[in-house]
Amino acid sequence: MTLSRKSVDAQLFRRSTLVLTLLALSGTLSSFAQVVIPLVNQFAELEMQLKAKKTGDAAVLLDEIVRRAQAGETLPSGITLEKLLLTAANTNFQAQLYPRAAELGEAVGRLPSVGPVALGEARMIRGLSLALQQKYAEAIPVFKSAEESSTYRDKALLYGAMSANQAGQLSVAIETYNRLLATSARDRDWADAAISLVDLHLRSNNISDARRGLGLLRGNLALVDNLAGLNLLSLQLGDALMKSGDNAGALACFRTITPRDALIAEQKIRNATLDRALARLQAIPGPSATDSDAIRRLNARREQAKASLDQVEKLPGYDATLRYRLAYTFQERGGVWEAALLYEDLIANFPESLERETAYFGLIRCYADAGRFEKVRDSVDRFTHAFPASKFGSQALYLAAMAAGQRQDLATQLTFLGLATDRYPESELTEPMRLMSANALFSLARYAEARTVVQCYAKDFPNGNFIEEARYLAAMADLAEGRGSDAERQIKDYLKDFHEGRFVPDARYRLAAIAYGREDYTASAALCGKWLADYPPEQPQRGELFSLQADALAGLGRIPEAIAAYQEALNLPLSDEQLGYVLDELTRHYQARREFDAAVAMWQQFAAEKPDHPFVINAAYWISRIRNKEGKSQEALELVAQITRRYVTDPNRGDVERLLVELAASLARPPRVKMGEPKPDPAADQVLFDRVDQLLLSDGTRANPTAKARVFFVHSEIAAFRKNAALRDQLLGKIASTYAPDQLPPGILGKVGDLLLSLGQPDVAGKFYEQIVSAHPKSIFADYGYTGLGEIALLEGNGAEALTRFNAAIDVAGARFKLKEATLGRAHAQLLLGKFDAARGLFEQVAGNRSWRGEATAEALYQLGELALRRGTSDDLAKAQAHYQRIYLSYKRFPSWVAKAYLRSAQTFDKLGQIQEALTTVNRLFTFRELEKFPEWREAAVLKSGLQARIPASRAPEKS
Amino acid sequence: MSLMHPRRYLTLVTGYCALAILPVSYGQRYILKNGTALAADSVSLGVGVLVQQVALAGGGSSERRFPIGDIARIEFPEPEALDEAEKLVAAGSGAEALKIIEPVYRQFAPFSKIFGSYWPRAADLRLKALLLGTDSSAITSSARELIQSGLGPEVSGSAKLALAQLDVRAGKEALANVMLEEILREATPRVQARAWLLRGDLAAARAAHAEALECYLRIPAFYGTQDELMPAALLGAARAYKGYGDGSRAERSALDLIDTYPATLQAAQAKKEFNL
Repeated sequence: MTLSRKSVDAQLFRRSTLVLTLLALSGTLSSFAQVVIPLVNQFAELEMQLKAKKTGDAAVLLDEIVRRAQAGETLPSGITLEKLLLTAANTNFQAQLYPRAAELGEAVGRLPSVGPVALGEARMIRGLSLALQQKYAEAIPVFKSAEESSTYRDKALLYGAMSANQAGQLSVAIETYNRLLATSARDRDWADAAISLVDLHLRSNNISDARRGLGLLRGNLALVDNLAGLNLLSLQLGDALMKSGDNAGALACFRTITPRDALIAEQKIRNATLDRALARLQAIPGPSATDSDAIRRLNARREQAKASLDQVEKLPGYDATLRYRLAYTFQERGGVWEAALLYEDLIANFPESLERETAYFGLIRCYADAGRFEKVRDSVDRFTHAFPASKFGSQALYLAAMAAGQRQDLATQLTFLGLATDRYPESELTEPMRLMSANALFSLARYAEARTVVQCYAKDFPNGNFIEEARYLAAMADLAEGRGSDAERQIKDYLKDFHEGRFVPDARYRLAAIAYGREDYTASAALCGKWLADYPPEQPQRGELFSLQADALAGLGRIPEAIAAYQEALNLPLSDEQLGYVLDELTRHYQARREFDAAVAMWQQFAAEKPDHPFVINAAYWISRIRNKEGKSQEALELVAQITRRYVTDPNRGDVERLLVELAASLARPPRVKMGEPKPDPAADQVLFDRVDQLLLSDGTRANPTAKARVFFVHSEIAAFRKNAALRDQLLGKIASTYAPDQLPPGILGKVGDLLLSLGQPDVAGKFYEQIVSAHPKSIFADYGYTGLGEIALLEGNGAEALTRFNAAIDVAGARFKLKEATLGRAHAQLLLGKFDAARGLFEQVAGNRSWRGEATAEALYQLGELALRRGTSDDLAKAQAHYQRIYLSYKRFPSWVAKAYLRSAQTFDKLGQIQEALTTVNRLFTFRELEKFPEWREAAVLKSGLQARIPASRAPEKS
Repeated sequence: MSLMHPRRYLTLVTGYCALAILPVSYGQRYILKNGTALAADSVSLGVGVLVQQVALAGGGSSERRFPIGDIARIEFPEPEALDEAEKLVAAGSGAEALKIIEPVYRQFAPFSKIFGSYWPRAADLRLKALLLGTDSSAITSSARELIQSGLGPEVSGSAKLALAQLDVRAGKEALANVMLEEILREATPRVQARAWLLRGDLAAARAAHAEALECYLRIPAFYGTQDELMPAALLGAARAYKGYGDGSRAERSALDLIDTYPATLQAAQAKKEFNL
């Protein structure tokens, strides 16, 4: 069969378009030469084979034609060697004869002249053929050269990047993907390439680039079909960021990850969409080249998405892992509340999770860091139940204890340390936990317990890591408990054993303080001087030393030198407490020397230099007092009112109450009368109360509960100054019933608490005291709270609790107002605990303090008598008698103690066998009719009858 | 994990030659179950049917009717009003959002359940816009319409949440909690997250600060991909921290909100409340 030239040309062209499809090869095979087997016949056969999709046979035939053409045979008109070679290369490629396809592609490139489109196509065929033979490294430069073709640029970039990836040339792959993504349209292919690029960045540890890429993909989520793959990459990236310490980045990454079920559901929807799209394309009869390519691309994308989905489905711990990572990174970023929610969820919902044990550890830390200590206790219980042998248990409790300590919740800290000791007695953290426990006990003023703990520590770990701290803490515990000589001995031992120790400067300061305490002012001043000479000016305790030196010098009566030392101290860093002390001492000395202007100048300078310092209130207080003394009461009043108005609504500015008392005193004080002028009538209470309102309140503060309570407080103080106790109590009662404790400042809380306690309402009083201790532990009125709670504990018969509270009043709160009551309370607590020697020491302290002379003295003397009576020797009975006699002779103002003293005195005489003296004493009691209301009156009557019965009538004294 | 598996490479390269990109845009058309595509501008909407005028060869015309039930999907470009309304709702401009969402809501109402319809989103946005106002009866009927639409848990959950919000407004907290429990059991994550927000608001109103924190902070902890709810969660958390007495965390949460979502109402509120 022969075909007309035109017909063959047309048909070949048509076939090549149809079968060689994807190249979009254009052109015709329009002529043939007459050879043994005419080329035209070979082309005709080729046409049939291509039509029958016999690409293998067609490739063989094309090879033959190529050979003949290369041998010099003339090709039919319209068919060039370039087109022939290209067709052959393409057909070999279709037949998967990749080595030959690569050769032919290369042959096209070697032709002396070749069009750019054909050249690009040939390079693509060669590159792909090499890649399909897994000769990726060889394929890379071929694709690189194919980029020159504007037609094939994007594909060359894509396959070039893929080849580089397969060849392990990651940087080349990344660079190629970057060039591709820089110019290609944002479509689903772009998303595929971007995912591959992120994967490469991750494998190359280019974390920031990977992060940027994922961010870009997240912003174009609608284009991403492989959500599962994207999530897996996010997980990988998060891990990499976490490993590099970038927890914020890791958290941002993990937060974008969809939980497993939701991800699977979403991916299935996307896969179904891909399936539908694919089915639609596959249903098209006689698909175009575009359709065929779209089908293949879609198919590849679907396969990848399904593979990623499969991977997610095979990860049963996916959600637990994600929870743990999220929780950990939240926690590391300070998001302990969020982390706790995640840990709780992991623990509750993933019982088989490998992360559960560490999740508990994290959970406890989170609750501790958030200050949620009840939750810590609960989670510790659950943890120890779930993992009794976990090594994390004691660590978690140790960290929780540390967190509690940082929040000054020392009782909770001790609870956690106790739990750790009970549940993990063999913990490697035993040493630091014991010391932490001792420190907490010391801070809580539980000195004896602190000492016991450190003594046990020293015994168990004589060469322990914290032996220096333990030794020093033991000495400090003795010092705090008033055993100065024991403390001194231990401090000296410490200095001998740790002469380079970290507490040496403090130890030397304490020795000076101990000397001061035993009134050896000369030694104290000398030790201070030596300290100041030995340590450099920047030593942080220097101010404290000057202050102590000043105290010692003042003790020696060297007041000008003391004032100079206090002034030195003022120029150095001091804690607020020390600063207040130094300022007050200087003020006291200035006043004693009648250097009022110097005192006022000092406070004015302080207020000017530190206008926002809390002691501005002290400044106002002292200036006001001094000006009042000088008779400048109006000036003082205005100053106090002005400062008070600034803080009147803030319950946390507890110092304001000092000013309020001063203000009340100014108002209640009768005006000075000039010589010769008549004494004016005192102003009515209401007039003064109105003046208080006017001085303290403004329109903005009139409705504020704290401000109003403060006004009532001043009213009550005025009533007190005017000796109207009933009105004072009525006003304080009004405060108690009108305002919640959290609306009241500590000074008022203390006064109200005391009133309630005196009215026999310890439960209600306790709430006010608790508010002081919990909300205002640093207040100057904090000792009201501790002392009040101590009194309540005494009423309940709880000596240990009472002792702790009274100790805290003195050692923690500084006992600025309640030192007498706290000391007396300590004595009573010791008595209750059966520690009579300790109690006697404290009662003697009270009885011997001249400035406390009054009812407290009477009470202390009575108790000293009781203690002597308890010992019962004749010498002790005589001592007891002396105490009782001192009461009824010197403290008649306190009839309840007088009644007790008379009775006990009579009983003691009786015990001594001095019946006549006993009877005389009883009769003396009956001379005081005001004692009739006391129970001792009736007891005395009974005693008297007994005594009278035992002495002869002639010797009986006359009835009074 | 390497995403580039050799097999995928093979799959891709064997199809290298066609370089065209799939068509991504199309006109407005209805695709019937039998595959017929009807251009939207060639039909008009009758009662339950699409009506097409067919010109007759001899002059005149006849009508062809296509029951709406025969439509498999609709292919319309997404109305811009949806995104605009969403922004307005986020900005708290309920009335303005309603104005632009109503036409879309009405346009797609006859095709509410048909695949590709924008009615569910329009109806949801409409409900959210209504919730910014005080018209309780309109909110109730809109919510009930969505619940009855059978459009799935996302839509019905969102509607139930609206009803819970109404209960809260009416002071019926217990009733609201019952609804919220149901939502948390059944709804999609997005709706669940919104339910936690509402629970946080309820706890905050009771000054139960710890509880409020645990509700608000569920959003960043468990629903980290729900970015649109984050501003409300962060503001709620900042307030709850403050109430709880943790000033530093309160400020940090507010700063996080202001930094990450600066253009939101909540960020502006946080600036004011926390003096930032």
